Amino acid sequence: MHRPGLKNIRFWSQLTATIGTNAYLTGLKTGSIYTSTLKHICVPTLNCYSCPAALFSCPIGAMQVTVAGAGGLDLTALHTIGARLSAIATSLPLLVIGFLALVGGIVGRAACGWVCPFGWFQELLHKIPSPKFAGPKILRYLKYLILVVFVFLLPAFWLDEFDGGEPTFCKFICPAGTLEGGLPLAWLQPGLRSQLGWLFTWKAFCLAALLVMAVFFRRPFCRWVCPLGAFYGPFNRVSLARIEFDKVNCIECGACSKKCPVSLDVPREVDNAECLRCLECSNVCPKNLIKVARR
Amino acid sequence: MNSSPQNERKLPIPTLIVLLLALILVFIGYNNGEHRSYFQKAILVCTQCIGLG
Repeated sequence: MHRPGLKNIRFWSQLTATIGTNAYLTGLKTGSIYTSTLKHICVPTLNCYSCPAALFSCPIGAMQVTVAGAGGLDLTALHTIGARLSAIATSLPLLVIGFLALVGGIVGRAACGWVCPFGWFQELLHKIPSPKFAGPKILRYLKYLILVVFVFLLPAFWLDEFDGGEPTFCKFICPAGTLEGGLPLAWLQPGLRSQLGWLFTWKAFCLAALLVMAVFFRRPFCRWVCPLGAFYGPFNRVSLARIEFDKVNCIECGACSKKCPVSLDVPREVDNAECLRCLECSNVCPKNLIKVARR
Repeated sequence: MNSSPQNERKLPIPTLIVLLLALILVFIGYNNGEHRSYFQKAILVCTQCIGLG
């Protein structure tokens, strides 16, 4: 039994979230960014706060900024390590961690599947006709490394020339920042273009590589790189909502795995840390064996 | 009034701990004024995010 209604609901949810979090039209006209009250609030998804249209803050950016606010740790200045660690301990991004844990504790990784603009963009790219590949499973662990190293350790311990930490994930990796912030601002502010150097080239390369990969692989950024996905993933094990799968009556038709946007072997892997809880599997299951339930 | 078994089911301890801990962190973080620190960053163009360095 196919239930097309659910697919439409998810599409509209992704569209609404994308527009709703990026509705500052003045920014798109003038190349400025929104600077008022709503930027105190983080969205539960990756959404660059330097996007001219962004109304809210990015949780991964906010995490790095809070950690980096401790001033970083100069490993060559051993006498200051205690003081630096103390500063970092009191500068942990508790508000953002708490907010994300609350979202994860209620719905697990569903924010990735239902409201993430960058995840949705990858899904749209994957619709381009081409050969499709699953990709190596081992790469799924890369995002946990990126979360620990680029979101926490480097912003905390790597000082810049002004003795401060830096948002290293935003600086060296984040393709959403390039797509939503870098490219539109470079387009809208001609004066900015002349200042762009190797870092912009590197980030543009990362973005281009990822977008090309998204045509051939399902949501490669979400599966292999996204630190927010790495943060949410483990909450699938304890969240209030869970996916219930009736294995006994499964006829192993494979329809669910074929449809899964993160290439899971659904009968064996549904609701693990990689599951986005998008319910595409539930949508196509001919026996209606996959449901949302309360833990 | 009879309650169904579904309604009687209690919240698992790990889920309860996660949700309570999350609320406590939000409360502490908000009281520390963390939202103001990232607001200060978010209202300026993030040079790192856009690739200026």
